[in-house]
Amino acid sequence: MTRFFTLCFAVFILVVGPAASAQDSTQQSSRKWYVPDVAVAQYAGSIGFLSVGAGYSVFQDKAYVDLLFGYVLPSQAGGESLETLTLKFTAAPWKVRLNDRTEVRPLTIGTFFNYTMGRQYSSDLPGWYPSGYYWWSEAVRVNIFIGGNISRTTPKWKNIKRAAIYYELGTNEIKLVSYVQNTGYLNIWQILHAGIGVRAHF
Amino acid sequence: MRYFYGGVLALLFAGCDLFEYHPYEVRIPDDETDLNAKAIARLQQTTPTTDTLTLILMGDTQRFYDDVEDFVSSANKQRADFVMLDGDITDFGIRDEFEWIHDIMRKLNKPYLTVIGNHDLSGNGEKVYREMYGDLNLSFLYRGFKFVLLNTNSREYAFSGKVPDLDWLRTQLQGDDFDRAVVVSHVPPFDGDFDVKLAAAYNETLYSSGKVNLSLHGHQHAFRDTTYNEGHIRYLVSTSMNERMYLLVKLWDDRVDFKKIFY
Repeated sequence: MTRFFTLCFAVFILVVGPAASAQDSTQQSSRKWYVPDVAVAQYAGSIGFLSVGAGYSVFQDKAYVDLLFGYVLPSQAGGESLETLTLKFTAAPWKVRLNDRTEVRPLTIGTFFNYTMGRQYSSDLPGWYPSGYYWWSEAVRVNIFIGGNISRTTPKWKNIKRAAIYYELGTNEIKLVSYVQNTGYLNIWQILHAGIGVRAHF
Repeated sequence: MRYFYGGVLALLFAGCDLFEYHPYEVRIPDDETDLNAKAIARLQQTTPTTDTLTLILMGDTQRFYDDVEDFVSSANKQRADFVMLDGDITDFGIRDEFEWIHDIMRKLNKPYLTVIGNHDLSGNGEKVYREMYGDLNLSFLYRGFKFVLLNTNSREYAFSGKVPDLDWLRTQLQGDDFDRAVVVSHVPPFDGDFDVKLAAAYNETLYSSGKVNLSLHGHQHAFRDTTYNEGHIRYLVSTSMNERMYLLVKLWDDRVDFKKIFY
């Protein structure tokens, strides 16, 4: 599981590093390339009751890369809390400007990897299982989602240039495989989960 | 405007099932808790119409929702006291799967009970199972029989030697408030996922009690009717649901009879 975390982090740095350093904003020239330019907070979305994290806007703000820490209260998870790490990639290529301060991204599309911490949720099968006994990982969920956001510049706020509210609607690999094999009983809404959040651009 | 936003937020946070916190969350509505105990209570209230106790043995419903729906239609046409789901309710042990299966099985016209399977113990599944169905080891009396539901998923506990709990089983098989007993669990003792240190002792516990001649299982996804080691304990293994078969098991005195039903 440490290996997975290291891998996540390496991917994060590799993807985000060059892209973030190529940002065009003159205001950010004083900021080191690796300092995130977005703070994120999210409700639900299958990664936690509440999640907080940091992210980057890359490719001229047409895509986002976020790393989030999610938390589920003990009372919501059968007595013990759940802690997760999420590495999320979102593409937001279409932009609709409503007025000089407000813009809408009507469709975003993305994927995220959610890692649940804790020894009881194994990434690899422990030694006492024959190989291939279970094909999925208890700790790692792979999600795909679509969503949208609306953002507004915030001239009155000192440190925040722009704030966005977003939603996501998605599913993970184990719900998807359940659906594909049971389209009689399951309908698509039964395998979808949603989240909402805010992104503050510095 | 403030009230509008407040209203929207309250709506989002309140009821909507879409807002999942985590696949392993254990948020269960009250009417889906303690389902085994509720089924037993319902069962014990019914007045038997025949001398023979009939139960339906099925299981390994994991990721076979469409087949389980058809099973329910078929089982509803059978005259039986109750349905016994012998484990692997789910494939990944997530809450949604437990709820999907219950949503289908609640349409049965007779009570259904479950034992826990190895797949149900994946992830946070044990906590979801406890919340929805109750204890992993459970027994109840019905029509002079004692039914003992046992967790035999030894591999999930790294073959610790404590699963199945044979001491508990032994005490359950003592007592004079019943004539016969039937033990139900997911993994049969002749399977590699049953703790090999306890397998012979399990069989011995059953026959030395003098009250058991039937042990019911799932897990192997294939039908089996066999004995194991000494004694004449009969082991019946039901198929997984995609095989579209279940067993109609009849019990009277110390006799056992069963029929395969294909649907």
